Amino acid sequence: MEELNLPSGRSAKVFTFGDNTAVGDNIKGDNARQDNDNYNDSDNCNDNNLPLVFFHSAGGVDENDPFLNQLAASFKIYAPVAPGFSDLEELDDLVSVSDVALHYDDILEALNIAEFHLAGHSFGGMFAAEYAAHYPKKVKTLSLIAPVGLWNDDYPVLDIFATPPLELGQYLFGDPDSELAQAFSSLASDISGNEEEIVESIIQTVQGLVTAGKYMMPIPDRGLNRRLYRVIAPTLLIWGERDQIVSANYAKDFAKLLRDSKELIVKGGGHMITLEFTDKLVEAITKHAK
Amino acid sequence: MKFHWFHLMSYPDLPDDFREKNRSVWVDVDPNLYDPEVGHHAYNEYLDELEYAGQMGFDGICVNEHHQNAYGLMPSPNLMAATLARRTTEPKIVVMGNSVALYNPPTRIAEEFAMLDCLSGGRLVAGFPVGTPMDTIFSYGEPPATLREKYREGVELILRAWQEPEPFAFNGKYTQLRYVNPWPRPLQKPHPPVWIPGGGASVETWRWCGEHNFLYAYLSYFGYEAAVKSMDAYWETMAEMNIDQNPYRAGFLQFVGVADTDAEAEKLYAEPALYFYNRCLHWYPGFTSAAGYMSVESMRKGIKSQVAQAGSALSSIGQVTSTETSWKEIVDKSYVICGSPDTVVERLEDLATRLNVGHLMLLLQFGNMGKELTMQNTHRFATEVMPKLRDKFGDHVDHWWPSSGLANEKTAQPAPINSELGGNSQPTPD
Repeated sequence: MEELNLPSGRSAKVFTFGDNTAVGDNIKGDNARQDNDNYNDSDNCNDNNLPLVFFHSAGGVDENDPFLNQLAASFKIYAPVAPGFSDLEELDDLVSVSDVALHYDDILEALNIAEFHLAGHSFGGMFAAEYAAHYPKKVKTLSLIAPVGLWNDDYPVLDIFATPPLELGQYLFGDPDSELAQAFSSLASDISGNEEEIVESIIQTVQGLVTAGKYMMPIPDRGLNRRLYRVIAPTLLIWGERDQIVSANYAKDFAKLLRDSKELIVKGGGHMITLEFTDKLVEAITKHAK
Repeated sequence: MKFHWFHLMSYPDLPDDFREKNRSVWVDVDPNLYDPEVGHHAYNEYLDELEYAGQMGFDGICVNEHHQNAYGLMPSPNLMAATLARRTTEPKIVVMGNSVALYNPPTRIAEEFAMLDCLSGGRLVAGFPVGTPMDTIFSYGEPPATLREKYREGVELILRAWQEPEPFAFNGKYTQLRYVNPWPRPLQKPHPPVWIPGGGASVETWRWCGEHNFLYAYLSYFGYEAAVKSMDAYWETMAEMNIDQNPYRAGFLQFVGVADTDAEAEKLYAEPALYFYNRCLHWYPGFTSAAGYMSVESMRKGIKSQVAQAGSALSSIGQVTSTETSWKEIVDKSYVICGSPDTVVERLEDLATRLNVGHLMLLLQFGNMGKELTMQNTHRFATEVMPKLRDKFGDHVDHWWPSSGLANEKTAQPAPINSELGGNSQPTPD
């Protein structure tokens, strides 16, 4: 994990996974683009070496994330912690989703990454789509995993902000009786252990929800539908067939607004598809981006 | 001490199986349960009761604001206050109050409160609650991340709008106005006293009240004994800020039922109390708070005890599960102080001393209590309880109380309805 000081005055934490690619100037997409001969030579395609940037869900991210650790076999991964998650004051000047897109770009500039693959899950999926609409040329491929950001009256996004944490488990997973779902519920109700740690972990969770709420309440639609046409990256839309938070029907709504997309609907998958079908997702994203 | 007669205006006709068949009295309560005819009678009777309280010598009559619920039928307390301003002359009109973040622009409140102050002859108390999560976040769609900041900016704007001698521009984060210049302006100078109702948990709210010299009113349904800890923390905060301990800078809400004996109290008050606690407070936990409604600082203070007590992380964001309440619990825990006038005097004296509050907001009507019993309870309280507590805190000055501002203290009176000016007679066809 590294901590960046941004020109905005904010700081940002970024988790990194994998080291299969050299970092720094070598991965600057700008260089690759300028070198047209190289770029067009499919046998020596620099895209293969581009890093993958991942925007996490409202649940946050840490170095143990199983999905990102597995995906790191194929990519050098940068997973910035969303503003607000560590400190709510970071949100003070991030009034709109555009402000947040600029903030993410500040982070990527500070990391010196000019071109990359982008993926995001749920709340992070919305910001991955927003980023790609704001900076279409920087995003080589886009993978959206059950993103929020569009609204359809026929299948409203679940109001997670009015769902008690202990009830959330039954909506997050495709199979509410699965071990994953059970583990989530027991985690949510677990109060054993160090009191300070519990308090801080609850506050972390709450800060994440407050942040998500700022850009998702009361309706998770901040006008992404007006901007999606700007995305030029080929986009993979991934959904769990049984997603009870953001219905898989939204894949079609995204597809209608995007120039170049394909859908992967995973049978039996829920909203936490990154945990439920890790292998399948890693394979699909790797194939899409390479 | 001062005594205020507070009406919540609960919907009085929720079915017996309401709890079993509905998940919440608030936000998504079944609209089919609302019968406008019941509403017609309820509003008129409730206003009769408030007016009667004014006649009986209560210092203030209180109304408040809630949305999308059967717990309190006043989306606009200002409408109620307007009719009370015309039908009463003595009691102060305590609007507890307008949830500032829900008004766009908040100068609407500066205007309406100024109207009420002029109409009532300077009798208005201006209450500015944040509003419950059910009202603000879930019924009116305010994200919790910005709710309190928006609320505070709105209050600052209203206070400026009442006091600036010239029209001014306001470039706020949540409100931008090129010309702020409300007409009318309040009769009371510099402005009506400001009361801040709260839930007894926000350290920042206490500090903010202290900084601005606002009255803080802790509105709890769960009795004064459970409130001691909270009010102690409030007074400690005042002390830390080098602010005096004048009891008139604080208020507390208490249910009371006056009867001859305990047995009679149960006979009279158990039904409306159980109606209130088990139907009007039957809320879905998901609506009772939302992440961010409480500040991280307040949470950090509250979580430790909650983690220990609640047996789950659920309560950490302030969510409350509604459990069925018994009459025994209601009485034992003083949710409702019930009993003979002497008992009530003794308990309220204890309440005022232990919480150090000079303003007592009384719920003498609750749940589905009918008009007759309400009047009787009000009468008994006014004649047998109030006089015995009147002198308490007499050595303190109440700086948080309306002062008319009328030049010659002469108030305008409504013309009699059947006067020569026309009254309510039907126009005669030519």
